[in-house]
Amino acid sequence: MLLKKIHRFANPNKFLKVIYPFKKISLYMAVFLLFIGLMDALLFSPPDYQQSQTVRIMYIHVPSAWVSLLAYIMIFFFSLMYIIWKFPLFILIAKEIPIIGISFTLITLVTGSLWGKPTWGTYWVWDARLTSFLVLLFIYMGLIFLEKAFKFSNNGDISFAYISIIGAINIPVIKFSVDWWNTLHQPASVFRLDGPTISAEMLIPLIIMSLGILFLFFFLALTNVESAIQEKKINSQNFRG
Amino acid sequence: MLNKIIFFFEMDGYAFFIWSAYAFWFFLLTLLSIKVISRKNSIEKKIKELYLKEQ
Repeated sequence: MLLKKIHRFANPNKFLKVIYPFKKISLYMAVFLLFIGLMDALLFSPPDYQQSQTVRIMYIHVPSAWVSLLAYIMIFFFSLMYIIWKFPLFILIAKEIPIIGISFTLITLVTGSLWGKPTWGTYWVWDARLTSFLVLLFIYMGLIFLEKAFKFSNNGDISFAYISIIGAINIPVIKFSVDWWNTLHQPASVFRLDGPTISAEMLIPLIIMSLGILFLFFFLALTNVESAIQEKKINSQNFRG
Repeated sequence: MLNKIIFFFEMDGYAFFIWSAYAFWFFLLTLLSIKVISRKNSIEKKIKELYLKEQ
């Protein structure tokens, strides 16, 4: 039953038809939520009692970090599906995500560094959370180089899928690094078993910004996938669909 | 009014860190969006050309 459903959406033309409305909705939602979120984050949310105004960096740093992790989880998921079912669409989707994932990872590292200087007194420290995030950046770079190296053939698809699956080991390391090691980075304050420890006045703009960035990620990823499918069609001269 | 605006942009003396972070975030996301959309537009243009040729 599930395989039948997957089969239906594994057809690129059907997939394009399905994603088109999602793409448009994602763009409108991203613009709307980012506008509201930025207003709230910069104008209405209160400064932190310890970090003062620098806490405003959190509203772009934390959502970018979440999205860069989500992007990698999606690459892992689609690579795994490709290895199991061998549908070319799955690896095509997986190969279009790293460029977006690396952008959000870079944003996370740079904004985190700019937040670290006034908070910790240093731009960079080799602690577990920061280092594992830097490793994520290198994994994304590796996947992008691999994708570029085999741009005009499918020979690199299996290597891409296996490397991205191996690289996924880093995701739980990033998530639990603050619990497993002594780090400068603060532990999780939103996704906790006992509920968020952050005040509602800060949590609301954080959620709005996170949703805005998430919708932007979906819009960019779906547009990239659409372009990749159309590129394949041009290359096979089957552009009528 | 002007004082309020200056106070907002000064961010309690942390203006450099906060505005640099937001500027980098905005710059990179704009660059990424332009790259993704221009790729899509150029492919659609190619498809149109190929379609017209076949006609």
